[in-house]
Amino acid sequence: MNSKATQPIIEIKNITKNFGSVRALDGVSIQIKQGEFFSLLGPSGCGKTTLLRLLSGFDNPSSGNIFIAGESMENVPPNLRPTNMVFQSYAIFPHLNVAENVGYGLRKIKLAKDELENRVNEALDLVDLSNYGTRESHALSGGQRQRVALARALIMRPKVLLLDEPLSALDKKLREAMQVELRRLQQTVGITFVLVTHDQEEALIMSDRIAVMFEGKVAQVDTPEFLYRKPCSKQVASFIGVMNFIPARVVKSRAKSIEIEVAILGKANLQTNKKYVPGSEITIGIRPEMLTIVYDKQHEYQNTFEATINTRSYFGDMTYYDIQIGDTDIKATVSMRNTVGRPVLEPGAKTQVAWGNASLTIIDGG
Amino acid sequence: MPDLNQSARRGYVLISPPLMYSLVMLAAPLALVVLLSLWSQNYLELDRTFTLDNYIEATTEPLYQLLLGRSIIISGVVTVCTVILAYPIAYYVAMFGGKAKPLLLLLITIPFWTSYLIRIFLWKVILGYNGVINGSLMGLGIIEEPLTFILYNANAVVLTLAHAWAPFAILPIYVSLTKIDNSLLEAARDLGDNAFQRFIRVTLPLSMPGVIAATLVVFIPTVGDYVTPKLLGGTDGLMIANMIQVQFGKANNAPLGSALAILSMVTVGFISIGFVLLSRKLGKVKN
Amino acid sequence: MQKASKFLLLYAVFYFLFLYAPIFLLPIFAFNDSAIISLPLSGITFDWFFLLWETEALHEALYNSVLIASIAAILSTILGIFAARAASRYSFPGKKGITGFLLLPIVLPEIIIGVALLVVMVQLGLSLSAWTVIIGHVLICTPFAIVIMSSAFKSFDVSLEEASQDLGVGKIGTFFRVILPMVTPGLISSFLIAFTISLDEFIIAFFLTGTDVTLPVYIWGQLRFPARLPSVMALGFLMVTLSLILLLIAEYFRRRSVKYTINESTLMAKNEETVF
Repeated sequence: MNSKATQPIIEIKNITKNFGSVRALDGVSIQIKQGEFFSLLGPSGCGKTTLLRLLSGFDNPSSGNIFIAGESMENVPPNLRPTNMVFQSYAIFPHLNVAENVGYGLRKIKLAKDELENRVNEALDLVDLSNYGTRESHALSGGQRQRVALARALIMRPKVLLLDEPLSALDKKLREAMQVELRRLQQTVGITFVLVTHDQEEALIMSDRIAVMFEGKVAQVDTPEFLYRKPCSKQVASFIGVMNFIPARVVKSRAKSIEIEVAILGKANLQTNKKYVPGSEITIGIRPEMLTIVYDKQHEYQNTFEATINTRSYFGDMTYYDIQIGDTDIKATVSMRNTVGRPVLEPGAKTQVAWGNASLTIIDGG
Repeated sequence: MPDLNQSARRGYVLISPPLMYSLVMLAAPLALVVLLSLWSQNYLELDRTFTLDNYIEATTEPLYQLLLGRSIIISGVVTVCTVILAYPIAYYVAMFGGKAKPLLLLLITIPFWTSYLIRIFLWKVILGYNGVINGSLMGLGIIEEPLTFILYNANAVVLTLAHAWAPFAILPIYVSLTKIDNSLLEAARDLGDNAFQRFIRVTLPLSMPGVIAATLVVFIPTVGDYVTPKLLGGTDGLMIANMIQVQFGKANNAPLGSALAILSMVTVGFISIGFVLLSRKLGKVKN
Repeated sequence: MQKASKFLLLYAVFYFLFLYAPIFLLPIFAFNDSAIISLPLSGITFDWFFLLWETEALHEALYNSVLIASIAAILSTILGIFAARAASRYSFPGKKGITGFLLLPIVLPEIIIGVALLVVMVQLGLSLSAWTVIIGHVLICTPFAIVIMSSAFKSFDVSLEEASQDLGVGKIGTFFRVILPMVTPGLISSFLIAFTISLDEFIIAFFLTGTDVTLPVYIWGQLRFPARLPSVMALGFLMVTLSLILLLIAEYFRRRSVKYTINESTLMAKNEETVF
């Protein structure tokens, strides 16, 4: 990944967008680096698509400014921006064939017939649609249309490619294949991709960095790993994967760590630079895969607690258990890989569950 | 009878009343008209020997040729004018109508639903020697003598028919415009097209089916119009329908009238099919 | 949504004026206190309307027109129900061709229809009467009935019928107890449209009418007498107003017939409508 440029390729500065009395975006500021695969992630209505449309120029902010490649995009229409967009519906022109679709944007530049053909073929090769040039648009499958849309945008050699939920119309297997494809494509071409999606798995798989958005605001911008392991709020933690929340109380606060008491789990030491008031209540997060069901009576786990199985969901390679912790009404989810020696437990069964210091995260805020 | 599934049989049962009605009341009479055109009128008696005399007369007699030719030309001009004038309105309602679309469409079709006869007559009032146009222009001092070229000739017929058929042209164009996916226009814009280029390269080609439908819907019935040429055409604006009516009326030559009717229908049919084929070919050549 | 360019807006305004120009004239000359239909205008008068009230021949023509229009509208709507139901619910070979044939009268020049029916009547030795006019009008009104009823049936959720049958009601019972009540707005709309078309129709009536003339044929007869013209204006004004009212009512019912029964696709369509 090239991040030689000192200046970010996209600077979104304090953007607000109102639709009548509805505030779709509220003071959004993001910086995107050149050559990044950047995703805007959030539930429907969070403003991610609105933001993408502001980047593309199909809409203008109510206040704030957007800079692309160092230049202000105020009052710059879509056709004059160094961006190109892949639309959610792909928007393939039905009255033109594949080659004409892909070469659509180049018609203005009046290339020689040969050169145009070469560029079109080059773009088709890039998306694995070589020799599809003469196909009619209506004869294409969903996945093929998507690749035509990609080729059509990439042939314009934009500095930034904007993708509006490009995989949502595809079935699961195809989607998974395309996720890998898109990532590979981006690395090959080397330009910045900005992708909008509501699917957190998708964002995690493809992105270098992700901006998680709720209700018009940016909650957290981080790499997938950091977002997953250190979500900054309960909202982000629940949106990315599954998170168990357990109340705890701060016992001692030291320079670089705090000692906490977690209900039924006992005491634990967590590393943090933040100062907490002893006696205050905080929320601890622990991912389902960080809890382990203990099968072996002779185990060497240091920290375990008793739990009752409420329900179980079997997924073939994994099983998810909803458990009740001890006698409390605190519930949690545990995920276990179904390997040898791990029979599936039924509801009502009692079992020991192990956990470790390192698997706890402090969840700040709401 | 082939082995039909239950759905097909039920479908046939249901559609048979209207189908029977149309076959008996439309198809059969039309067949009879064809038959009649092959007979001849011998003063007061109908001579049922088969003959092509009527058709020969219809195609060779200069008067009938003139009327048929003029009818087709007038219809052609009306169609071109009506469709071209209708496109911007259809475009306006389809693209900028917003929530008012159903209301605007209703407003467009309302004049059509009122009595055809009355509307044609009102145009006569507008275009007449003492009519509204002349009265206003003279009142404003723009002209001193009333204009005479606006009534009782082909011009008046063209103008009036363009008015009468406007909604028929607007609706098909409107429908095909609304079917254009907005994201196609956004994609074109994203790829560098300005408003005019988007219109020519995306909107216009995709609205062609509507334009073709509008053309046919205006052209075909206009050729057979009777009232407008009769009221406004004078002698220079008479069309084939007037002659057909005369044959069935005063001239008492139903076979000739039938031949003229069939001839017009066939001519219009050929022109229409030719037009549709031509537009299909043109569409393919561009690609 | 972008705003239309000023030219387009101006064009639209002028176009609408063009469309309505003749119709605006009607009230002007219907109330104009002058025996001649031309400018300049004189004062306002109701005389012409009173004249209409007193003309016997007009009353007869009006009665004939209403009778013919009512019967033609009922028959067209019934035929329309059959055809629309067949087209929307069942598939059978030749469906497109048959439907196209049924809709043909919309595009055929009316004079051809008039001539064809006249020929048949004469050959069969039948005398022309109100019934011959009704036959012709049903031909041209049925296509419109089919179109309106088709859209009413299309927005109808199949699972409603299936639920009815699941609860023990047979096909015919379901038709009368579930389907018909729900498409009633479409029925009314279709009837009113057919009624209006028949009321205003001239050419076919002209060819096929016997001694009982319809209103448009009566008007045609009046047009050659300049003295009668102002009354014709008054009559035209009344007819246009009546047509307008009937049409607005018909449109109201047509909308209700489409919105009344909602399934997923109409919900999606309505979403698209509001987004647009």
